[in-house]
Amino acid sequence: MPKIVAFACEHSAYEAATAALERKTGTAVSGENPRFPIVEVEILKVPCTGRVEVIDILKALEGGAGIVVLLGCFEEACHYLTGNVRAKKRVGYVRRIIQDIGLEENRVQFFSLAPDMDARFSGIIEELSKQVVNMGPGPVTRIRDQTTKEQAQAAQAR
Amino acid sequence: MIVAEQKPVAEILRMIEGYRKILVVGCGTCVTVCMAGGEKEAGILASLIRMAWAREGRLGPLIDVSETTVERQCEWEFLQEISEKVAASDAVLSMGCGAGVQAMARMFEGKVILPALNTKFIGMPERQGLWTELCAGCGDCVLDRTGGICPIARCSKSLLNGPCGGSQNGKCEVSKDIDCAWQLIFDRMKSLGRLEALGAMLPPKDWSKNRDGGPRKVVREDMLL
Repeated sequence: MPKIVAFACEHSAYEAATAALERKTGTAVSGENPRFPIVEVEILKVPCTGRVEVIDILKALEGGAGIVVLLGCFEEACHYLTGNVRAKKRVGYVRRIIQDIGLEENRVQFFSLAPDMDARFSGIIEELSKQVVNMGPGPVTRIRDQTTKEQAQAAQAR
Repeated sequence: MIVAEQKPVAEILRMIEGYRKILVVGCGTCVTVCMAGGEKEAGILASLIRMAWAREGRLGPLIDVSETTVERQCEWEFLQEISEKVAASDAVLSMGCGAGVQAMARMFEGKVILPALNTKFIGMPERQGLWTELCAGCGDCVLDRTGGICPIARCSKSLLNGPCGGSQNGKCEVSKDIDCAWQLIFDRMKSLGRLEALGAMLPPKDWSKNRDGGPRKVVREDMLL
């Protein structure tokens, strides 16, 4: 199943995600994805998107995520002043380096949210769900699935 | 500190074509500070290689890309710590400077050691994300006569006798982003009250201490065992 990993700032996006769960308007914090159930969503609460390092994003992709999204505060609204600005720059950097290995830049994205934007949160997840279905799973998942399929075929042949 | 930057990923991937077990080795000293080859960068590069190989369908039980970081790649003691990991790899991607790569190549005879970085210069972090060249390692320091500003490294022409005709409003003719080193030297000497020192007649610089004698050595007899 295609997967989205979302790093959500606890001061904004995570609250929006929680509200979305409570109001059942969309994706749940627990990982449910009611509007798009064929896509798994994992939401990771972080103290600030500026805390998410480049390697965290890459590890998520390596771990099988088709899309990694950082959901942070709007500019000027960061609890730690410039964490979201740093996060945006890091996302830009990762988008560049994954293109160097032939991956689509849209596998890594950043969106700004306020705590009361549960509808926007659900809309983002819905849009990303469509995108990840179109793009297909991440490279590591693809090869794992392929290996599993080949192993199954080999076992069947035996 | 030595400042370096990572080679393009495509170039690195070409270098490691044909190898199955890659060890990416970071260095915890200069290249960590310039964010080119430290522990974080080694992890990032190893992850990118794994994903690139996965994309090509190359991941499997016999294929492995791992990373490790030593305190300093240019000292034997620290390299000994990773001997077993190096022995288990087909090729090593060094994220050290040129000295680190060569130290590893000497330490691990018979092992392919490849450079993941381009070593650029001796310099310092100007501000977050910006490093500038300050020293050309010319072997005959003149900073005592130039107010602590190096004309060899910081003048585009490495002039030793004042600014050229291309200096305009304190900027170098090569680029408006480059300060004229001799303007900086003049201003600094003026602020130090030492302008008269710039008028001193000096013999030509001794370039024999630079590169014309081949690879240089520094020997401390009192330290030799």
